[in-house]
Amino acid sequence: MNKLLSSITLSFIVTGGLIAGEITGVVKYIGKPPKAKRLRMDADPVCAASHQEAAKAETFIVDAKGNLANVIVYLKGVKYSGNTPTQPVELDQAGCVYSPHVMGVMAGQPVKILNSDATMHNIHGLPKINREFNFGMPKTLKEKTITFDKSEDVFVVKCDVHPWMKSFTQVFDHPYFAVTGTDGKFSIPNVPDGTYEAIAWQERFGSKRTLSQQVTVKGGSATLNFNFERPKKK
Amino acid sequence: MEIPYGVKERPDTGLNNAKLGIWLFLASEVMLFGGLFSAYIFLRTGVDDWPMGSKYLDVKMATLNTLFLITSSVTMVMSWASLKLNDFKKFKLYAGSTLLLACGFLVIKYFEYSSKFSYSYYPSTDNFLGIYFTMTGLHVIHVIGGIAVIAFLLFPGAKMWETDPERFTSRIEVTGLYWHFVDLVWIFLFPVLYLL
Amino acid sequence: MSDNHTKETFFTKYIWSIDHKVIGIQYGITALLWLLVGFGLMMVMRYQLAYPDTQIPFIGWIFGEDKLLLPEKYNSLGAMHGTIMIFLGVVPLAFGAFGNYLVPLQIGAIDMAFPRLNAASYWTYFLGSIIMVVGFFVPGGAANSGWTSYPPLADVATAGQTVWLLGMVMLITSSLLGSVNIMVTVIQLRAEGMTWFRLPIFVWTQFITAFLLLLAFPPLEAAGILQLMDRLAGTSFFLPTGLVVSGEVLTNAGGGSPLLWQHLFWFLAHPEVYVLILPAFGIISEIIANNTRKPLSGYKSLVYAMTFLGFMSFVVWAHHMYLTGMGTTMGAFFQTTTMIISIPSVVILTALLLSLWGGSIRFNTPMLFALAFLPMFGIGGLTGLPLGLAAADIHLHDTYYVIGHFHYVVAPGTLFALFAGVYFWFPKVTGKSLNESLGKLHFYFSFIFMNGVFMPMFIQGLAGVSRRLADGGQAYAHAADVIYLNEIMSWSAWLLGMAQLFFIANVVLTLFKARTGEINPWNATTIDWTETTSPPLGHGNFEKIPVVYRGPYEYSVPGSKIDFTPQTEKG
Repeated sequence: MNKLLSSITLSFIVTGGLIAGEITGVVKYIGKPPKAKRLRMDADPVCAASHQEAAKAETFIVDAKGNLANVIVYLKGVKYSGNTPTQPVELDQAGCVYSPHVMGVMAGQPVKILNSDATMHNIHGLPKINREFNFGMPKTLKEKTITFDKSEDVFVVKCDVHPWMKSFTQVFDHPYFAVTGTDGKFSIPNVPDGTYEAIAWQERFGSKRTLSQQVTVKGGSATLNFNFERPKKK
Repeated sequence: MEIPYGVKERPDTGLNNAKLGIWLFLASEVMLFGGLFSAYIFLRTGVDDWPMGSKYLDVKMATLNTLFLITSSVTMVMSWASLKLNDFKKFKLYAGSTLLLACGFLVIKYFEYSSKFSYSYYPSTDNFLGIYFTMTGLHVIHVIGGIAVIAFLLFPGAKMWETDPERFTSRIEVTGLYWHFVDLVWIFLFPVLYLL
Repeated sequence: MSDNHTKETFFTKYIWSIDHKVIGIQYGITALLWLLVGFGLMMVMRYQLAYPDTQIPFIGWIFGEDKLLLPEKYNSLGAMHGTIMIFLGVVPLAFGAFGNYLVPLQIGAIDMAFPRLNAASYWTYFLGSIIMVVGFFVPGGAANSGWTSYPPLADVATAGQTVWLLGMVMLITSSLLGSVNIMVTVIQLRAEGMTWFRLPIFVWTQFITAFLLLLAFPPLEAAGILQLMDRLAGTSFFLPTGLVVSGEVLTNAGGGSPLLWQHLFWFLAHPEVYVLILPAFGIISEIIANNTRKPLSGYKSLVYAMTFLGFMSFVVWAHHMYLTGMGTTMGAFFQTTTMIISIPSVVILTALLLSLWGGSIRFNTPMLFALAFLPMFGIGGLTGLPLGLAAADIHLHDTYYVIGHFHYVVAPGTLFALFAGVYFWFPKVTGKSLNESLGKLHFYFSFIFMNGVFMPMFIQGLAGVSRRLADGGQAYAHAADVIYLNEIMSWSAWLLGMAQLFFIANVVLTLFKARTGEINPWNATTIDWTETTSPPLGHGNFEKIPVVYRGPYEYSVPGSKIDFTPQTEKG
């Protein structure tokens, strides 16, 4: 209880002591979106039965207006000395897909891995800097909590039982990151005033084709939009 | 009660226990290095481009090392023969030279290894260097083992010459057999790794 | 030797001893404990197989808060069960304990040829066994790539594999020392008159076993060194170019081959099978001759068959590798040698069966175990024939059929022989006889439940159930018809475990009894029974070195007053 109180006070000091604001914006894709592939789940009857309609790959989710989902937007090289949230981030295995498909987490923040399926999953994360994790979750094992020690660029988390199951995780040493929803929108709250370099990462574009922009937070808010473009054919 | 045939030979086998034991031990050593040589052949025939040994290795140093080991084998025999002739001083001379030559081998090997490392040739560079380091490394361990035994027999163990000369001679003979084997392994390693 | 009458403390007498008998007992106790541990691992695995993904009762807390045996831990237990049973249990018991204790006694030697090496051999084994289980406590748990440690899996496995390899190097060193010792002892230290063809079959089997260990283990050591290099120095001996692990191409140099490991490994591991079974043949031969009160049928054919078996075991290894894509010529060669090697096994089994014919059989506990050994080993051997033929092996490979096959050879086969040996020689080692009623209970229950564990495996295997499933085949439709057997097998296994309590109780209760010191309770003919006290003298075994005048199995000699004529009797 004491700890909670003090952390509340501390966060009050941190956020209240500086003038902080929120960065909001939309990530769009310009061009004709590729068709999402169907996921073939026949190998495991439990997985196949858990979807009424055929499940589609979540590699590239874009709506009719070009709003792009599952993009990580974050500020680069920010010094942060505040607290790490103790509230766990959840990574669910439901219907034999990972939800969320893309996520960010702070180093030291607990990640609660859930198994909502009546089948076995084997979650296998492939970080390079953090310690690799790889364990089975039979249907009776409903949750397990892990943490990452160090910040690290996006790495793959996959299931060794179901080859189509894939998700992406990035570990940060600060809380200034967000993942776009299906409407392409994101918001990064509590950013102290200043000028930053913001990065947007999307799965298909990969780590070599991230977008980058300068953003200045002043007086409580800033807007930041990214546009991914279809790469020109070579 | 004394265990029989510790020093004397058993009439129907013509061997004493230690000599038979070392021969059996060497048989298993043959299988050990045999396994590694088979691995070498397997790896080499499994790929299209196997580098020539001389691409990485220094044949001159290895030739010198071969000479060192062959000579040390000769001096090892001489040291045993000196004991048979009851000439303990000569034994000390010959066994001492064996020890020096063996250490010389190690010194040259050290220079060879460090020159490989200075060119960033590591066991992980390719399978030729991998098997080179593995086999010569294991051989070096055998050389060090031999040095330890010879040094023991030459210094603290030499007291036995006063109390039980026959057993001491037998020990030198058995050590000699081991030392010839170590020499023989090198005689195989040298052409296989450096020349072929 | 300790003939200089220095004062012996408890420490030098029982712990740091160089007496072959004490070392034999040390081997025996350690190996029996490891057998229990290995068996325990299997009982836990059987719970997971019978009731997949449910909490393990009683000892679930070992596996963490969730009390589940997760697949990766199941893999560890599987690999360690095999390793512990073979390398820490059966071989040390059959070769280390029985060989050490009995060979010098049976050939009339005062000790092994190299007593200090003998002690070194035990302590290296002890250290190696400790290293093996340290694996359970490193990150990622103990080795989990199977007892065969196939690369590339084993090359990229968790740290436990490195520990496994280090432990293996120690165990190989130990068996090397032990085998040189046994061979020199048999060749050099036979008593006067103990010619080669007067050796008890047991000594022959130990001698051939030593020969196999001496020559077959070093290639595994070579393989182990190569795998250690792969894991620690980044070489690619077993890693082919462009290997993809977890969706990413490995950055190593490549150019290696996983098959290289398999060749080197099976070059050991096939002779290893005969290392497991030959001492069993030896023990069974002694007990059958003794309890039928007649000479063994075909002593010489037994010796020749066993020697031939020893040689042949070096040229059959690739019959473990039919599915690696070898050519038909290679396949034909190894199928032929495999069929040939079954001939001496049949000769041995036939000779032992014929030995029963016309004998006046005493059905005591050791004899019951020995009699059960014959059909059990028969089943194990015969079920191996289809596996030796590539066409059948394609279907049966890596199914429970294989598990059933080799367990029939080793568990109700070798283990029954070892139990027979323990019951048979217990009076010699301690001077006290084990209780017959408890012994028979131990036998009958073990016999029933052994078959309850392993017979259903053939059925599951023929149905195609893979041996490596942590859930016992639940996810597979083809296993659905035979999956109910998992529960039967598991309950059999646990009851088999309970049946061993009879044995443990028997040993403990007997040790508390007063020593009778009966020299030759079974009226046997060999030197170990006739020329030594029970237990044998601490220094030098014999009051005076025996001289041998006749063969080892002179039972019911016509014209003789008693039905056994000791080897040392003149005439």
